[in-house]
Amino acid sequence: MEISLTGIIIRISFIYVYALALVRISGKQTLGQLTPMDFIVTLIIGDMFDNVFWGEVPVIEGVVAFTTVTILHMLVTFFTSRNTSLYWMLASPARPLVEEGRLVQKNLQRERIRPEEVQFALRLNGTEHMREVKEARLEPSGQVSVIKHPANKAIQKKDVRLLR
Amino acid sequence: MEIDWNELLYTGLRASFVYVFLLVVVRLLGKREIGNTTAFDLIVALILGEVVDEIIYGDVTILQGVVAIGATAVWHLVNSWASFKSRIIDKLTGASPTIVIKNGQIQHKSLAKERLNKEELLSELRLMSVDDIKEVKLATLEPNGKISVIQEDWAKPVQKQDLMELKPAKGKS
Repeated sequence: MEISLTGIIIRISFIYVYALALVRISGKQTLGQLTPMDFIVTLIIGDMFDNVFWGEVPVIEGVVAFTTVTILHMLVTFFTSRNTSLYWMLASPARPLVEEGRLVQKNLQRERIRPEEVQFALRLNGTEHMREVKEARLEPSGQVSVIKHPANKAIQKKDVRLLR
Repeated sequence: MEIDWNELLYTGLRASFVYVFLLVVVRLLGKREIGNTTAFDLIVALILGEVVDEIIYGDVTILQGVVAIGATAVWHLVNSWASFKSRIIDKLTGASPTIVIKNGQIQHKSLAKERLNKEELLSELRLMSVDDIKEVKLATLEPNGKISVIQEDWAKPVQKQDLMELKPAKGKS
């Protein structure tokens, strides 16, 4: 396979600067991995480079592919950031898995999550007993958020006043 | 299909070489570059990871692989060096933090600018166990795309000094 070394350097130099510019324009949210789609777009973009490096596709083709994916993702985030019902169509709603210390079976089934997995998410959060949990939700990012009952929350500065 | 033991051996050797070479490159780049401090650092880390498979499978020669990884690393070093030296280049190439909640108030303009849905922001807060937006003094969308939260003073965790205040007087009790 004939690939000239100077060719590799020139293509990389060009695509590096181009990618830097596009990432800068598309904003930090695009690559913040706040949603699964952000993460996948990041992987796709990272994956498209090497074919250009080795000259398997012409540079112009790489530029078109890279630009298209970025613009599409910018458009999607533009509309979903302004319209919450549209956002819920693309991001799975943050359904509660635990409410008032009890498992919400309906949502566990819908999200295909076993009770043991909820326990494991609670342990990662440092929560031993489910009864302490006011609400645990499966967030759009795929992580589980845990909000404890006011009485079980960590002490905050305002609580010191209770002692006075 | 006949197994070509020699080719398998070469694949193993190439993989070992690439691994050691990448170790050196990542070490030279330093934590800042691969530490995912900006969105673009993550992309560069992905690029480096993607480039190596052609080298390992022998689709390109080792020399070509070294040149490709080297060129990417050099550009990334030049980029971080230039943005460290020059404020203008830093502004051009790096994103600046955006405040999305200030004194318990959602900054809707900033959300629109960053194309972030309010629900997405609330979800991030819940993941940090914050369910009351009034507790948030400052929430910032940082250059690496993560949201940081500074709580109001009264909502911060209790520190030792707060308990000292409870002591009745300075003397021995």
